[in-house]
Amino acid sequence: MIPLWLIPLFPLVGTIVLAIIALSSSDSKQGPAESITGAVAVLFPILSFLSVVTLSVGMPVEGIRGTIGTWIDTAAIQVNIGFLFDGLSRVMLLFITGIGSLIAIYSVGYMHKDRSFARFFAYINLFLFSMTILVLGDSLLLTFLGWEGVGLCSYLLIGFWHTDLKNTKAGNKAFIVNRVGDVGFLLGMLCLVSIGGSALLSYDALNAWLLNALSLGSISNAMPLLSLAGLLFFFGCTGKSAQIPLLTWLPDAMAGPTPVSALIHAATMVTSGVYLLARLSNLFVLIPAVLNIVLFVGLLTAFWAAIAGLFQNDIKKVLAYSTISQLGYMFMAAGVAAFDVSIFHVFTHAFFKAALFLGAGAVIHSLTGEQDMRRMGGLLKKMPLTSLVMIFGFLAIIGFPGFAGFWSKDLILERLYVSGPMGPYVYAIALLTAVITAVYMGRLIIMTFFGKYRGSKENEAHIHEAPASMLIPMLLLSVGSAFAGFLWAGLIPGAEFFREMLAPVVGAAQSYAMLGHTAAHLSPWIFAALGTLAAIIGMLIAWYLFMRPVPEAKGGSEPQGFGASWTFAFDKLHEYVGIIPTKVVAWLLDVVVNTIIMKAQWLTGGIIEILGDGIRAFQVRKVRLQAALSFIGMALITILVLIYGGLL
Amino acid sequence: MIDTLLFNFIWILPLLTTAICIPIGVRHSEAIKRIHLGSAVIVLGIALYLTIKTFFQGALPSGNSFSLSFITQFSWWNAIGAEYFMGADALSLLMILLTAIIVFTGMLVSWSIAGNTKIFFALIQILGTSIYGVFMSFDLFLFFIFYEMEALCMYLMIGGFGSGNKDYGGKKLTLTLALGSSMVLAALLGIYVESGIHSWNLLKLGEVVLPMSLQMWAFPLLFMGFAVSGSLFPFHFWSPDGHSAAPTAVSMLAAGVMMKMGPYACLRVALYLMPEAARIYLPYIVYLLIFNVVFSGFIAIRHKDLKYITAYSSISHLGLIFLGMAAMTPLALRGAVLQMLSHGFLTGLFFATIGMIYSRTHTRDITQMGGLMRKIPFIGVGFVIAGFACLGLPGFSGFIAEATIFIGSFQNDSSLMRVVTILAILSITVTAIYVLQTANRMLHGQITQPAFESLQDANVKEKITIIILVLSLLSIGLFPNGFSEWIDSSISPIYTHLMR
Repeated sequence: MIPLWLIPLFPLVGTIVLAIIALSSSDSKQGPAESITGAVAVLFPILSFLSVVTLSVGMPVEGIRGTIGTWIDTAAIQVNIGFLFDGLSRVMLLFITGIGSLIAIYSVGYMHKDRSFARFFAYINLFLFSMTILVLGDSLLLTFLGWEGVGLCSYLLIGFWHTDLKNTKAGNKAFIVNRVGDVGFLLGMLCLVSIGGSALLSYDALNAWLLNALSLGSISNAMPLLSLAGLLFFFGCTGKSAQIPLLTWLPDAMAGPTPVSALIHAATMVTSGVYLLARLSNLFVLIPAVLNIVLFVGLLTAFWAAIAGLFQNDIKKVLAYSTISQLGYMFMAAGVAAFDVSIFHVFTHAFFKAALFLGAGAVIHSLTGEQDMRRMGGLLKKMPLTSLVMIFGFLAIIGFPGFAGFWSKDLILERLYVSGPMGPYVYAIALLTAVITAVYMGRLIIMTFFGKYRGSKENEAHIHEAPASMLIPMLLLSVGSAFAGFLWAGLIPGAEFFREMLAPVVGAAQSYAMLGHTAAHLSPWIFAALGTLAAIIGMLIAWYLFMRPVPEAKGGSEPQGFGASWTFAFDKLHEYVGIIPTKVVAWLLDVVVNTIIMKAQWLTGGIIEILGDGIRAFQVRKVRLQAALSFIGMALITILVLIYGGLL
Repeated sequence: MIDTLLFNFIWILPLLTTAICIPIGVRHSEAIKRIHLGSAVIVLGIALYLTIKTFFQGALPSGNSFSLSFITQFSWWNAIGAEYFMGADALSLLMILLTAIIVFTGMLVSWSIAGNTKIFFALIQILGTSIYGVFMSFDLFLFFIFYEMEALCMYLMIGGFGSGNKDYGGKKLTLTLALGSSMVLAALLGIYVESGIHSWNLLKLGEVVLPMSLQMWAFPLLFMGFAVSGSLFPFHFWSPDGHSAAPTAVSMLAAGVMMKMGPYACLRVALYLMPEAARIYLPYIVYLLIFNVVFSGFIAIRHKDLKYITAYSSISHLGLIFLGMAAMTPLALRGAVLQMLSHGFLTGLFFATIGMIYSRTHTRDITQMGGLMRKIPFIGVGFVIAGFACLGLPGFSGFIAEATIFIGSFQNDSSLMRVVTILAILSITVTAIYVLQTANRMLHGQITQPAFESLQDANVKEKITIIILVLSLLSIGLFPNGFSEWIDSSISPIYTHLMR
């Protein structure tokens, strides 16, 4: 059995090697050889993936644990730091390292001839290191370490092309908004600490404590703090996973290179909130009120982002809003305690969203940086393979029967109806959102690949299919978007593979949440049929609405009018709730408090000066008197001290 | 025996080097600088050797009293009972090591300072001596002499080699620190007289339970007097003006080490000698902290001068040290010590990179700068690393220290402490705002001035400085555990006293 720490070690070594390459070549004009750098950049993620696969094969049901050190070690408290490789982290790691490797290969082609080639891959490897730590950590502290690490990489990669202030400002926004969420995470940890000491930060200890308290009946005392902790952790998740109210950073994060959007802002990092909820499933099922909040926040986000996605002209922004919307579905599933289903959707989403983003990247690459869909069109014939990949991703995301998204979304909708509060209503809105998803994704496909080419002449001349290093990962991912769903469907030998894999981690929590529920008896076929119908209706609407000449693009790609009010609603909210109050408080403190202190300082200075003048009046040029006075003074003080001290 | 001798050399050697350099003419300034650097390297080597050696010997059992190594003790001034009493425990050694690193790197970055380099380097050495002395002496009389020496050196260096409004900044710094010292002196005299043992020996005084009537007036004087150099509100105002006027090395030493002398002395002397009063007064000091931790972060958002931003950020971080003290749990106290070390390296790196940038661009106004990352990537990366360490990114020492303080102070179940802890945690967002905003304006975007096109990246000395400081930040951040346990051997006597 290979040790667990190999999984994060490989990308870490990759980071260090690439950082040295990047730093040592910062003076030279053309930078290090791309072939060597690229090979290093791809090798370490693949090695990490291979170690995950090796470990996955022989994993016992209860998982593998390995301690790597102690965090806090006093007589009273001991917190160990270690790795936990169980069903949940196995699923996450498989696609994180797997898709991570594919995207690293793709990036070698995409970042070709970039000035900071090595720096880019150093960041990508650092990201994979942090993400594996996030998922492997056996305590909230280690997860938080990875949580912050991925945030850092996200910041660095959004602002990767740092000579454009627009990019770096988007990076700042992402980091600061995430920081607001991190406060929730930290406070959540402190709530747990105040309930049962620092030991509760470890997942195993927390689960054991919850089980024990539940069986003893002492849990009700801790209930208020537990609910608060759950709410705070969820607040942290809304930051990382771009849910209401902290979702504004993700559309702006599209300023980064497209492979980054695919890897970090679609497939892996943004799903870590869903991972955290699943990891803490035993806590969350005890606090149904918080789970209901999760459900409704997810529902609202999914619906809102789908509407906002309708109005985007930038191809990456459409995909960004669709990511937010899909993440909303995942949180909805978690909100009805269907944690395995939500992780399943994370898994399938990783494939089809990565495929969509990489496809969009290939389009942008061949149009030399054009991202406005109004200047695309008719690319189907010129880039057939890319179109195929995108269409596969499209069919998966709208839930077309047989494709990956069909299975996972169908399961979510079914669980919403069966086991959620206000099931039918929530189900109806979620189904409506599925229709809108098909509409805006259909719009994307139609505007990009169908109709007539509407872009500039220079760009048209060299539209080309992507190079092999980009195409192969895209094609593999499109295969994933087609077939990843069958892992649950039971059509592959070892039926219900996915559910069984997650059962040891979330099974107990889910069956606890189902206690007392009477499952509605509805045939799963009805849900499948309704889901399919939604997808088809959405496609038809898109066809009817958008298969017509597109008005010529004027100005920036930002939406106008009604679309803008949806798109920027939360930006406005942040401005009024966050930015303006911060500025006011800063002004108050800086101007008012500092002025008062300055005044006090002048006052003291003035008094001292006046006193000094007074004394000076009888001291001027009377050196002997001065000496005598100071001698007498000193003698007096000494005598006083000695008397007071009882020495005389 | 040899070790004890070496230990005493830590504070003697800088003075000796200064004396040796007196006869050398100013025109041999390169030679003088080399001699001083050489002595700083030797001191650093000694400090490193002694620290590592003591560390691997394992923590000495420490119960009620500090367990010291390298003790040198003889009577020095019988009439008042003052002794030459030097020694070190984990806390002292770590602070000495921090000082040695900052002195060494401070010399590296002042290599091409304008003005009389002979005097400047001599003053750095004397400043170093005084700071080493504070961390080494366990006799309060000696301690106070060293404590006073430092403010004087600071004044001369700011007045002679500073920039901008140096006269104002230097006077403000020195006078405020002198105010603190006079408060300290009054309290120390009171302790000396009231203890009735005719001694300034900290360990002996620690065995005496001082009468409450004394503690009630002496503790606030002593604590606030020391806290002046830790820039506790409302005595924080010297720090932004002082730092901005000071030359780079002085800023590094002032913010990196000298500002830690205050909290160090609060822990070592005030809390240790007068724990009963500490238990009464510390909850009130928590109110002052709110300004430090939360408010100064907001103020930093508004400033455009790099040194003002860093100074307010320092005030905010020093507030966390006092928060750890006020929480009075073992974990929080340990966090306070970790934060002293962490912030020392962090702010050293901050001021070092700011100095490097200033010496190139001749401005510290971030609105004047832009696109510097292209031209000076090494320094830029150094600044960004300092920024991320400052906002508490895991992996760097800041996170370890802050997390320890937060968890530790949350263990104190008074609701006031918990509210302030929550406020402090909320303030990490504010830190992120000013750090990222500053880095963005300064380093990213297009180059704003034609003069910036020809900037040179860091030279070898500057690279060494940045690398040493970054490695120090990382070493605490990645391997906190060994340090932490060791620190506990110094903390536990203080904690035992607090609980008596």
